[in-house]
Amino acid sequence: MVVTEELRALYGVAVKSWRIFLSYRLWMVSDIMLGFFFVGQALLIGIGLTGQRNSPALQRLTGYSDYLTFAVLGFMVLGFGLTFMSGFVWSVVDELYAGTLEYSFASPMRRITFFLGNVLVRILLSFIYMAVYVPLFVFVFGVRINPVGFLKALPVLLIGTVGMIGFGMAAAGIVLYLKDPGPFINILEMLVFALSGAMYPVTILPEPLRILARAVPYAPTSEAVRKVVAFGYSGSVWEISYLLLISTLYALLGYITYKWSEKQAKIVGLKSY
Amino acid sequence: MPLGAVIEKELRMFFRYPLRVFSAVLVGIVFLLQFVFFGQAVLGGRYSQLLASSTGIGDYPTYALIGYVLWWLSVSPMEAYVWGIRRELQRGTFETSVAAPIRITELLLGLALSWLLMDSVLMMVVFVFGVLIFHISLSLPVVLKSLPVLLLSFLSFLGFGLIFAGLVMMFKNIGPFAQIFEFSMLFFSGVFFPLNVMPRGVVLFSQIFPLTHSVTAIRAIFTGKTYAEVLPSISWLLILVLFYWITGYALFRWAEKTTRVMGYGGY
Amino acid sequence: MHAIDVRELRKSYPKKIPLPFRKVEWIEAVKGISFRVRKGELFGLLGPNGAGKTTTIKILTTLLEPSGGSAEVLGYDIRKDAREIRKRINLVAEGERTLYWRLSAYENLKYFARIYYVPKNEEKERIEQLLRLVGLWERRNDLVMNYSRGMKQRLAIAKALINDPEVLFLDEPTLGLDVQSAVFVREFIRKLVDEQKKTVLLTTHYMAEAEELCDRIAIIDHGKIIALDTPSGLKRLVKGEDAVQIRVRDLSFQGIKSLPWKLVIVKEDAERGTVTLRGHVSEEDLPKVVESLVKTGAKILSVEQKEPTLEDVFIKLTGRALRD
Repeated sequence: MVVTEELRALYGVAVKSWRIFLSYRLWMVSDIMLGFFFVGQALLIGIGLTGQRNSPALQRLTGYSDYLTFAVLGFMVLGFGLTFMSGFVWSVVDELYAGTLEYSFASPMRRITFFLGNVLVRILLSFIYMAVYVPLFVFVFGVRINPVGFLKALPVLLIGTVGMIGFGMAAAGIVLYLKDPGPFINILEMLVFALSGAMYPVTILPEPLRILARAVPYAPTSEAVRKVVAFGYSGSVWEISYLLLISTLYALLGYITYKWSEKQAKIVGLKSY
Repeated sequence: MPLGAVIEKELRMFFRYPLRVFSAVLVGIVFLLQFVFFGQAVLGGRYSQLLASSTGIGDYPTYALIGYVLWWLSVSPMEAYVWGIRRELQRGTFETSVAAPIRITELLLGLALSWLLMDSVLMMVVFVFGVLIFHISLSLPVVLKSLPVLLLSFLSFLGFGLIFAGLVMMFKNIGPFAQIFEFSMLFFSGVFFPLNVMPRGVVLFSQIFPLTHSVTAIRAIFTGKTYAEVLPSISWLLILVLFYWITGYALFRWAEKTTRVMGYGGY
Repeated sequence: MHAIDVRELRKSYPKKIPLPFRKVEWIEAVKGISFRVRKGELFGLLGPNGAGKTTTIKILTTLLEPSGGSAEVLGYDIRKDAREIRKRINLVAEGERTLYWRLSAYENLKYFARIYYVPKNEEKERIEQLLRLVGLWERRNDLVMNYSRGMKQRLAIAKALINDPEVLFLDEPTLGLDVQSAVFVREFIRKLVDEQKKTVLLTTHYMAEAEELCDRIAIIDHGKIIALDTPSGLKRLVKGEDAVQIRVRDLSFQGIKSLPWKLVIVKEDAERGTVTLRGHVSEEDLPKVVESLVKTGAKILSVEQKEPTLEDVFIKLTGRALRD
């Protein structure tokens, strides 16, 4: 009984976020175009600079000579990860700004249900985007994706997802209490973007940035995903273990921040803007 | 002076939040890094023989930095209209300003100028950052020599943006389209890659964008070319300035007349 | 058992987020208040802005943790049994933007039905019944952003009834509404209590609203309850004292402070340059008051004797007008 009640609440939250998302459907088009631009950009830069579809230089750095596949995989991990970071944080902060958050928090539903409902919709959206992207990239840009390798990468992506959700929860928990969360989220997004290793191997970053990149869950996820696609599980033990470790850490961090934030909400109150 | 008042108001609103300024600069830098690093990873270095033979400039970071900074500035007036006007429409401050005796064109021009000013400051920071991090060699005469062309480019960008002022008054929510358009400019004007990889039709089409000529001219000046050698691009820019200012102004006047009938509401 | 039982409730807010090793100043918003609300009663918290009304409501609806004291809602402790309480109560928060503007009225209620655990087989019927009750059924599929302020508030009330709560908390339910909508909301609240036997706790800073609507009123000021009684009981506090309202022009504020009678400004009309003063002045003193006012340079426009209202009670208790 209790479980079904909570599940219905979860469903309610998911339906609500979905409908609100649909009310911005024009942005969906521009979101999808964005991915198209990125990958198209990568292809044209590659051709414009080398005149070829393969790069021996990248092969030496990462094992990928096909720079387009390299970029596509990175971009998809990044896109997936950003749905938890910015998508998720924004959905909470937007409700805070709009003033609708308090009613949801005043209901008997558990607060974690509210967050999970939002996350579920984000995951669903990411899969929809992927379903649009993959055929698009294959047909338009001639990206070669090996289906077996791709499927093999999914569990790795899921491991990374745990860490990325943790990172998003931590960010949301903190951001709720900032005076002006907008630019802070933007800064965080940009850092994630720069350190995600979506477009380039993080090994070419300067030392301090490289360490930072390895310390957030994004680059480790894209590295592990790329490695598995190219070399299978046995060739990627080190990357997968590291990803497991960092995902667990961020899941913990996210949980602790979330608990802290819940306590704060009761002491300070949710600010109304 | 009313124009000054508009600019002052916009600048105050922007620089009031240092965190916002910082985040804007960071956005600028990160975008640049993504593509330059990617290019370098693919090249395995910074110099591309192919790029040099097709554009006359072989150093990829220099090529990309110039293109990127100009791209950002070229979409600035457009953003001013799309987001600035939209913001004021939403807050209801647009009607208040329109009700004042200041001419609406002056109001809009002030908006675009102030955004261009702010973006110039941002891009100056990004440019210096790019020069330092990518060790781009730079000489003062070259920078000075590019300033007149830059000024001409600004004029053409302002005119180009004016088209969007009319559109936003009529269709209000054109944010997503504007974003798509801004990113397509990256393709049409050869910001991160040489235009000659694109089909011939696209190359021809891209001539209607001021950015295309602006990047060509300034890149050429950076490689030591004289004004005479970049004359074709400059002439193009001059023609486009005239064309866009006249078309944009006419379109805007028409949109304004329509909205007077329909009302500014809709939010 | 009382519907609401509040004992020595306190609440302080930190000025900044309290982090470990960070010295934080605390501001006391509610300074030890106690009151009880009977079942089926319409209870009002009346006080100026910043008196601690909203904080009290947020504590009782378990959105905020009190810093001291205790409170029970329907016999449940607000600290320990928050979820049990939440299932049995609901609230209308202050402000316009509390519902999802990008959803329709129907979709909003569906969402709240689910997160309030309304059984699935009752959901449809309940939503229809509520939307008809607040007169929004015809426009159920319109997005809330296209609603007027009054319609939004009616929807907020429908939302607050979605779980058929035993106790309803309303924070300034008529604030910012046009006259017609405010009347609708007031009558609606009264009916909820009279016909459906709901318990209602509402906050307001409108004297007339509290007087007209509430069975009992607690006057709250600076985080403390300074009086608690029925409206007529409260007015007995000022019985036999004559309330006088004087409208003047060119008032010097220095001037009224020096007068030996307590007169407060209840209304200012900047456009006309007039000020309305109110206070307790006996018949004998009235000519002297008028004389002294004239001496300070004020021009008297009208002098009226008035029936004492809650405004006079508040002036008597605090020496200020409620609007301050």
